[in-house]
Amino acid sequence: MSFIQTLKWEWIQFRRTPFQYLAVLLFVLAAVYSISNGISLREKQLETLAKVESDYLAERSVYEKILESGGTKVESRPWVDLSNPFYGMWNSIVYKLKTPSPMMSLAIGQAEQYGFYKRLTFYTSGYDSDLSAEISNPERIAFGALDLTFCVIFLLPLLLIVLCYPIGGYEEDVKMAPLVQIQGDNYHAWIWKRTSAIGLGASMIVILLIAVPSIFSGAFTRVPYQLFTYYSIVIMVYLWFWIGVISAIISLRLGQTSQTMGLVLVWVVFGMVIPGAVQQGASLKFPNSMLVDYLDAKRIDQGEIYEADFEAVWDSLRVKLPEIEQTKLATQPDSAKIEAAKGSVYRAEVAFHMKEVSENIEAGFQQRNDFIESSYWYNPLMGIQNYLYSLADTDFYAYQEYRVAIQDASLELSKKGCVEEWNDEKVDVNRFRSYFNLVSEK
Amino acid sequence: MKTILLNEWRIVSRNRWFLFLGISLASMLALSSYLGIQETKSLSNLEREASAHIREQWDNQGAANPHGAAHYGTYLFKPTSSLTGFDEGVNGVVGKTIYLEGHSQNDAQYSEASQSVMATRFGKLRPSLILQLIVPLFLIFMVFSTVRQERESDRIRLLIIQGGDYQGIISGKIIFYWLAGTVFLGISLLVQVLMDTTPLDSGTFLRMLMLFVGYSAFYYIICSLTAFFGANLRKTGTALSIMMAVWIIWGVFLPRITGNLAEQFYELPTRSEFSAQMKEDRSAGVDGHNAEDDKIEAIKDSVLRQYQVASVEELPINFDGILMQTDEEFGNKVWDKHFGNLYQVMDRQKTFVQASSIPNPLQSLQSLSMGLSGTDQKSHTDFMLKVEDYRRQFIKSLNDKHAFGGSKTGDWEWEADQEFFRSMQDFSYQNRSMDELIGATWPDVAILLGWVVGCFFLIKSIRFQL
Repeated sequence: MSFIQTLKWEWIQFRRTPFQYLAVLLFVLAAVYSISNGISLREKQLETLAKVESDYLAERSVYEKILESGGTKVESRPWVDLSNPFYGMWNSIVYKLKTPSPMMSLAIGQAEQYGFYKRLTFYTSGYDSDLSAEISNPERIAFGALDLTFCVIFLLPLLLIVLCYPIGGYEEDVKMAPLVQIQGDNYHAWIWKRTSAIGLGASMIVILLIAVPSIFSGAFTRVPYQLFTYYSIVIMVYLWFWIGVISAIISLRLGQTSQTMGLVLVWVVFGMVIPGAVQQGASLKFPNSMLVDYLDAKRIDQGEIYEADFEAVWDSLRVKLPEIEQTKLATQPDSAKIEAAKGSVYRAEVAFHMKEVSENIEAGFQQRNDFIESSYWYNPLMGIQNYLYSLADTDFYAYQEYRVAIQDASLELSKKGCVEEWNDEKVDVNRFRSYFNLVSEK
Repeated sequence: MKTILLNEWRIVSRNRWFLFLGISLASMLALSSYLGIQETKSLSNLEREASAHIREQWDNQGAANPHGAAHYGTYLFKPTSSLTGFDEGVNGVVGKTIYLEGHSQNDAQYSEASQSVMATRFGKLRPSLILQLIVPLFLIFMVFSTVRQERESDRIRLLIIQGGDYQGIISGKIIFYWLAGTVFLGISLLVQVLMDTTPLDSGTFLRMLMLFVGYSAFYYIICSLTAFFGANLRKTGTALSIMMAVWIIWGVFLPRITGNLAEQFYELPTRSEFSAQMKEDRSAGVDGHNAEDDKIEAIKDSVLRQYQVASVEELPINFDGILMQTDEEFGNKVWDKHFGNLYQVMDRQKTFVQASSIPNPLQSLQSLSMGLSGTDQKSHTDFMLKVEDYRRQFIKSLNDKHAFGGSKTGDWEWEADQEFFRSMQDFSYQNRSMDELIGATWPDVAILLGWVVGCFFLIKSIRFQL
């Protein structure tokens, strides 16, 4: 029988089997629902970012106008002097935003576990409470986000199993398998042709599921086409990998019940047992640190820095920030001004320290990641899933990069503030505006 | 019945494939229970160490201004309940660290899930995962296989001719495999009791008993449904398809869909909206740090009248402390309103999920299991509310010390001695009482029992068709 004939017969078989029909319908519904989930989450994040942006731009413009009119004082806070670099920078209201990728509609990933907008100040860190994830029901988060990637990685193999389990098994049960061989077909080739026909149908469904919403949501035009290509290729390879596994199990000629049992067992082992065991292992080996190191850094270490002798802090800072030695106050000492500018030295020293602490924390997270990633060769479903999330910028690393950028930006602000204070700079409207671009906001 | 049970045992014990699966499952359960307990112990130790470490910082802060100490604040770490090793529930995705400070109610931070790449989509390999998803799958195959074998080999006709009762035979098979399910459950709970070093109190025992009843009820449902379809449908493929579809829809599909739908029907505010609304409401109250605030005048007058003096400087107490506490109490009303609304919306979501579990008893079981293990959303909310109560007491003690500890108004340099800070009580968390737990989980129990009764009658309706 030719492949075209096989395709035709499988189509007829499919149309006559209401449960298979229903399974496909359910899968498509789940996929469509999950895509709409992804699209709505992305839109919600974009709306939130737009609101945050408009709020801070409005707040910033208040101070900009004061400076434009030649003033430096803020009526509601008499102690604020906008011409001072500390207050100038503080009131320039700089934010670091993480704009969701258009591919979030296909892969929500870990996006719901992290914050995506953060005001930057000299004291900002990537672990601040205002960088918490959006408010959501923890039970829903515990069950995990329903996105197209979940549908493809976990539901698609189940769909393939439902579509393929009668192949061979039924013939074995009713003792018709020898008839297939007598008719001249190679039994294994016959199975492979039938499963491939189903694989082809499933591939078309999946391609449509990726392409249609991406075209309509405009995602195709907003992200590099390579991302979609990689995403689609990985999914196709994954789908055909499962077709291979299913064909191999069917070739064992176990009969319908045992065959189904074997197929589902493979899914359970790779979809639940191994990932669950890896996660359990990671938790035992690297339990939640509760970030006590960070708490200590914020309370103890910072306190110690602020209580330290100025000379010691200066000596430490000038190694990390050599330009401080070339500043006006460092070269032409003015004791009153130096006294006022000492705070910026402490702040910069703290910012350097916090950067170091954050690197240690991230290194701790990395150990856990290394453990999980080293399991990908026997935990392939999660490896593939995390790769797809990385394409959509919704994996752990995308948010780690964001945290690191926040920490770097905070350090940048502290360094700049310190140098400006030590150069005895006065903030005018142009300098104030230059702070907006000091760090990239998006 | 005894003969049917013995016969089933003989069939199972002769099938190496089933034996292998059964032993593998039992070992996996024992191991996962053991690892769950180990993780719970290790987390409890870490929490204890972290709490002691933070407490030490608090105790050794030296003499300090009480309001300064309120800003310095302290941290609490969410304790791990003893049954977390059985069912982790939401504990992996909610934060464990909570900052307690003046003027603000904070959320828990630093969840385990946010500290690494994703390693699983169905949770850790805990007994709950195995007992909720894998054991039922095993039972489906076992019951299906035994019922179909009777049908397809036509042995059932022989048994009926010999005076056997079709319903009795099917019921016997259901009971045998239901018992097998409860053995798996028993293994897990037994390991829990034997390996857990904390003494088994009556509350935990009762919870475990209810877990046993809940899981047993679900196993009866799954065995009965499989037997019903296996016995009634002509085609093997159709019968198996239905049960596979049921397992997929119940275990993989519906829990995610209903959770998402609940959030769409009962929307939670975004964090920025939530903060902005609280900030707005908060701004209507007293600002304890702003002596120029107009709203202070009325409070000042009342205190001056009470102490019969003309100015705050003449007061024998520190008016700033009173102001701070007034500020705090107004803030508490604002937090109550907004966090209260938030928890109310989450409760509505939970009710929606519980109600939508009517066609999905597995979801009721999942909800019941998390609730009894003290790891569901309601337990988390309960913990957060008790933490907030503690924070209010904690800050009030500091403000009272500031007001009545011996300092005068405007004296921000005044310091309470270290002994005062050391005398402040630690937070200790008690799990929800059994009454509260029953109040929260009765819909799950009712749905499971409803299904058990339904399945009982379903099996009663089975007729053998020649």
